[in-house]
Amino acid sequence: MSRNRDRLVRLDDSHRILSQQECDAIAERVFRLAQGGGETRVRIGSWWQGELRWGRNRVSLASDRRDVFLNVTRGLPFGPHGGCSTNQFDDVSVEAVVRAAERQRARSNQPPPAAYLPKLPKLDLPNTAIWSDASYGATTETRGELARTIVDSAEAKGMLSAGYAEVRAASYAELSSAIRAGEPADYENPYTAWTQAQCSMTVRDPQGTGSGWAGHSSYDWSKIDGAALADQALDKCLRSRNPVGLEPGRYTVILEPQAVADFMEALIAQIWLGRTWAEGGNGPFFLTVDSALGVARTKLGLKIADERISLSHDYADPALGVVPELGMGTSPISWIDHGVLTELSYSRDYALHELGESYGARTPAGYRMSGGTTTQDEMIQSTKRGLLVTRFSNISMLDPRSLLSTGLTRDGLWLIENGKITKPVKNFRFTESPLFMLNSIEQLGPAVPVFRATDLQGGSGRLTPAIVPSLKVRDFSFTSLVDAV
Amino acid sequence: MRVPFWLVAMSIALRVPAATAQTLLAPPDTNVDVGKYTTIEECVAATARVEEALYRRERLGVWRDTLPWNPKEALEPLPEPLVSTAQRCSARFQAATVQLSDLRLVVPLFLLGNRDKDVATLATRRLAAIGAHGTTKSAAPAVVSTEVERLAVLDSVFQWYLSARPARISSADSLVTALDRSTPRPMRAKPAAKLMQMYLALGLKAQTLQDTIVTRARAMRAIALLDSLTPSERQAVRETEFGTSQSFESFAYAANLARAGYGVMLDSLRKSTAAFVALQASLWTEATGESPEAAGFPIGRKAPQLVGAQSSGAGTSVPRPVAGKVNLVLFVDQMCTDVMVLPNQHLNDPSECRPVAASLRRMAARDPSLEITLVDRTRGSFMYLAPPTPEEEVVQINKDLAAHQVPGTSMIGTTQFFRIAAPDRRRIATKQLPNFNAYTFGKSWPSDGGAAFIIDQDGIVVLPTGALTRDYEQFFGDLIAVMESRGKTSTAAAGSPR
Amino acid sequence: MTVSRRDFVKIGAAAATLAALPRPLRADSGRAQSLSHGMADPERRSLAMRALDAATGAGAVYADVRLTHNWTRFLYDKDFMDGESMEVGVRALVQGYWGFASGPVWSPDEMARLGREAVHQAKTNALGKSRVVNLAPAPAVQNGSWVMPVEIDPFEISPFEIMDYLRGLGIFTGNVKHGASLRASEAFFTKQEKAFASSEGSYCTQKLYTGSGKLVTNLERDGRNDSRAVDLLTVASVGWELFTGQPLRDAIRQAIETSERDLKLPVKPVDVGRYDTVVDALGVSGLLDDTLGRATELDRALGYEANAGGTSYINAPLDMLGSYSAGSPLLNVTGDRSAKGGASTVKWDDEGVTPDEFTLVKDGVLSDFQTTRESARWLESYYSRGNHPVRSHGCANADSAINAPIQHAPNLVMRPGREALDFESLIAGLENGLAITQLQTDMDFQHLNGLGLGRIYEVKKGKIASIIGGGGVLFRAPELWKGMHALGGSASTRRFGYYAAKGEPSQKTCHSVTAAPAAFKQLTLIDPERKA
Repeated sequence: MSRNRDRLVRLDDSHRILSQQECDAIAERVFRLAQGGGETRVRIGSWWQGELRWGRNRVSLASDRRDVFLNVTRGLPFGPHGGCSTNQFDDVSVEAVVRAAERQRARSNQPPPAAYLPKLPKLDLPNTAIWSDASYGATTETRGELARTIVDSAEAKGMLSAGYAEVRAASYAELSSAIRAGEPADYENPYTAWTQAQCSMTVRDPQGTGSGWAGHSSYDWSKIDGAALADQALDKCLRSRNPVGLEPGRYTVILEPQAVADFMEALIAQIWLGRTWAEGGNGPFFLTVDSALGVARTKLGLKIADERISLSHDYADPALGVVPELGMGTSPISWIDHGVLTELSYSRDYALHELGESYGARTPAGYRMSGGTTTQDEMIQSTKRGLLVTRFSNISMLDPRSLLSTGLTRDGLWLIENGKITKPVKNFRFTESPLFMLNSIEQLGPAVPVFRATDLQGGSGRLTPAIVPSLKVRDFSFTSLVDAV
Repeated sequence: MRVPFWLVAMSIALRVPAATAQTLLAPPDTNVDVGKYTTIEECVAATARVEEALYRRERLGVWRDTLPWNPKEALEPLPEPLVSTAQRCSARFQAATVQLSDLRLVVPLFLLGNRDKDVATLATRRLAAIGAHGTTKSAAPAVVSTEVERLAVLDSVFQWYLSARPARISSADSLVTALDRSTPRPMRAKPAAKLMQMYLALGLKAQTLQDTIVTRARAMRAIALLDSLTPSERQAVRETEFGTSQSFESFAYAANLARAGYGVMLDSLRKSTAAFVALQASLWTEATGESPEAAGFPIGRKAPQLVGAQSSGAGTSVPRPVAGKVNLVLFVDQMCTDVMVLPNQHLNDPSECRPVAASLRRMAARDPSLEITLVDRTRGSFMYLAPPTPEEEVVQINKDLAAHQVPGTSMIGTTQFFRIAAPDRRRIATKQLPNFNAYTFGKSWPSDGGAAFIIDQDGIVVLPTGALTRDYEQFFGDLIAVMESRGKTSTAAAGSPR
Repeated sequence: MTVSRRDFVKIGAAAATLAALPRPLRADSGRAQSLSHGMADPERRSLAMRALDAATGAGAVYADVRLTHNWTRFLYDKDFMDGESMEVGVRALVQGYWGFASGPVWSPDEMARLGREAVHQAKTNALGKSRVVNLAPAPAVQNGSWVMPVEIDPFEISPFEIMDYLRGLGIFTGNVKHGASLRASEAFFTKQEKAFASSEGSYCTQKLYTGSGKLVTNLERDGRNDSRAVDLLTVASVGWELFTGQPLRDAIRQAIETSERDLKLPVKPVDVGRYDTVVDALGVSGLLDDTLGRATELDRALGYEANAGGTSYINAPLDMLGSYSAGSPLLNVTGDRSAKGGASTVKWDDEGVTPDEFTLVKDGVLSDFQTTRESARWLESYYSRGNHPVRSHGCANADSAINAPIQHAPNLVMRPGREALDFESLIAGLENGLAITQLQTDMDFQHLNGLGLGRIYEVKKGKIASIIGGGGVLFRAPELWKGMHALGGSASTRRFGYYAAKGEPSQKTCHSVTAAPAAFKQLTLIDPERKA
């Protein structure tokens, strides 16, 4: 075996993601290979996943997968971060990626550095709860046992269960040769490691007339009660069989927390696009151009939702663990306070220039929505005629100004008449806006964690937790019947 | 490059692990055979890429502004790799057959590759193609549209000649002279206006190249054409050809200035500021029929004292502009010190702040007793630093100025802000006090943006300018040298403030 | 007859001498290294065998392994980014349960670990209720090797040449007409060396390419903008000839002309109702892909995707095969993974199966499903009834060895009509109705009901009269295809590439869809922004 092989990082069973020492060591090797001065920037990451998929009441595939990546950018400090990538750490590969990055920079246009570069002030990462030993230690056997419990319950009732359970651990660091040498350069992202877990299932009847779903995601596997989810999904399946068709129209709806979370995504995305987007005249939160002040005004400070609605994120909240990023901000953020829009995402750049602050307010990477005390039973009992919705699917936005969207109900829709659920109903296509929903609230239930499997803003596969209440909403617009189950 | 076998063999011995190496992320080949490109656009893209690559190193590694300025730079040839790329790529395109619709891409490309003869052929082809398409019922509109098209084509070629490197001055000159001679007399407004602009452009180019004789000759021709127009024609030309406010006046003034001659201006200043002011005013009035005051030109007025200084440092103990000295006051609003989270994300183009620093250094070196004042203001932020107090920000601004080796005394005022109510809480700067970060002479002189003012020993504004650019550095330097050598000029009456 | 390990070693030794020949020094030549030795590297074979041995030794009744070496190159007019990666994945079958393990390290120890881990995954779940996997037969591929033919390897030419080309297109577009510009110009290429081995004695290597691009033109007139994408650059198994071999400048000119025409057309509000509708080839390919393309994935039809993308409206395969009316008799759809340049084209799939061309829909009747070795067996009774062999159609696909192979769509081909019709002549044949281009479809989770948004024109007496502002069409898949009454001829067919995501965790692959423009009866026109 050649010497080079020994330098390959081993990711064996006890050691499934790169440690901080390993990331540092790889970075050092990259830094030493650089030719021609300037800064070398290295992004190193690794991930491991334990996966379990089942369909028709049998596990269809169980997997253990892992990978690493290395992205190298060469150039002057504060330059663009394009970089070339590899996932191999042997000497030849590491040198090859450094050379490729150098050639790449030979092409790009980079502005000259400033003559005066004061020392970068220290920035703190927020403290977040992102690592769970339970997730990292959820063994193949544990997952297997859970799957058997789940499928057995569906099979016992003659239903078909399909679903997926996953635990994941990952690590990441962004390191700079210039920072190491004490020179000014863009911030490093210190080594971070985190875990995430998810479990979801769809139970259908063999005739295909009914379908129920339940799911949960968290950084902490121990927060996921697979058996309880299985019961929920099975119950919904059984109760959703043989639905009848109803006329489209406006209905009072009781949206379960998952449905609310699904529908809120478009709104969350606008908060994520932030102040700069809104001040540029885009989206629902742009207000007007104030010619007297010479700036564009947004709806910050204006009431945009029912006063019972608040949306916030406390990074330290263990129920809302997110992966911390530098410049993100460290204090809790309130996005909507009692219906008033109180903040939109902004970068550190914006904070320094416009607000005289040191930190940005970054993305609702996770969010907590205010709830109420009305239970779902109480909501049903107080409804003369309405629909109970499990979740929404296939949502697309039609108008970015009003957030008018269209999508489908899925996995359980029931008619409520005179305070009781009377029958399962065929799915509908809705045409509605989440802003309308937030302004047409009759009752709120307690806020609970929901299923939100990937970072919908970045596509990086990171968890973005949400705690969301159920809502009873009036005049929700359903525009056509959809006979899909 | 062929590698000798022994080298290969050795490398095999050393690199046996390499033969079993896992990956081969090969660096890209930077050599491109542009000769095989089949379209003009790819050639244009290739030359742009080569140019960017050539100048990239300079932009990043060479602080150009510290080098002596070469006024004849426009006449110097381009670097060989760029020229040969242009030649190799365009070799397959023949002047006789290239599509005329591609003219605006082909001509600059040919000029890059020094294919001047081909450019002349193309120009001839293009002119011959005018009026060849379609017939019109009445003669008059056809003549007019043909004439308009001909002027447009000639103007395009003229601009390409002038903006080429090296600048094709004589080709441009010949073109204009030929057009002048071939235009029927009495000359109508449209061709006259076009010729005026061309002559002036040639004159200004000559001025840049410090060829005063040619400058004067071209300017005189431009003035003569202007004088040949009737007042109503002049008005028509002003509206249709010049459009925007004051650009016609500026053109006429510049032409007059060039005709009057450099030496004449310096002589008048040597006599007295009042004489210089009077000469400038008469040139302006002659060109535009208006007084400079009406155009908001604050020449000859007393420069107000600068106020609101927050900075410390030598030179701020006396009121500025400094009485008894020649002053250059520069309002540097946004000179490279505005907030940047990353130092290269200048909100303004960085190319604007560094040439200014270099100009100032050269001017200070040339005239050591010149009093330079840089007026700036705090903004509540500085690059990527944590939000500073005004005092801290002033310290940082001065450090930045020192790093750029900017001479002079800085006077930095604290901008007052208010905040939009929470949660917006954005900072809005309040309306500036008079003479705070710009000179205000009553209502007329625009007070936003940077501006430079040359002020004599009596505190009279000799020349204001929108920006300090390399082209005018010599001129300003000469004015300052004249004022230094003459000392104060006497009577207060001549320089009475308005 | 399976090839013995000893045979493998003999073959390997010959290849080893090849690998010892000097390669050009990378630093000196600056050229991308020739990789023709790479695939035949005997080390790959021995690594693969190591993994299989470990898996079978630990108790797998079947095991397979993929080793992939990937290159990617993304370019736009001003910059480019290169990436490279290597992965290995092992699948093991124990008592009807599948296990999978994958990672980035190619070393003998890792191979053994992965082989054992895959079996560990399978065995742990085999503790559950019984499950039967009966893989359909597939002849072992003994020492196969294939290089996908492309004209110009985009990794062998200078990225600067590609960037000059893209930038040149931008310059060209600006010159086409006043107000014209190119909003996006990008190119993306991949190259993959894949080695596959199975415990049934297969070993084969392939070198595969994909290329795709993006060109979006824009025309501005009086403050209004009309943008459209040039549709010649969807993903395909091609090299740089994707750009240089196609009439892109003509397409750009055409796009600008169309934008100019559209900006002059009057815009009418939606008059809700049902209309005969003509859809262009791109739109028809999307409709086909989103309805039947997804609905005939057998695993999806049987509920294995229910928790992810959903199920299929063709939900009782064995009952429906041979009798279900999927569309009008004009509808004939086949699947293949062998068409030259097809985005899903391979020599062997990720189970070592040689894909065949198969008929999904014949004269409007459902005739087959997309299958893998495991799922082909599920249709055994249907196949034997018709005396067809029980075999996988070769749809097992893993875009990289880090992912387990699952069933993904092959290239789909809709047979054109017999008459020499095209989009323009179909419109000319429309007395009153709609014509749609730039169609985007949004299907439900059974791929049954759809909402189509795009550029909708009103057609009157065979001519485009106006644009319907803000309209959308609703349709239901079976009715849509049954109502297809006219189809463009072979000269009007076009091939487009699509990416499709499937599975948990999600994986993405690409495939081509070939279709002709078509005329459909009575689609429902709505105003999608109108609330109830």
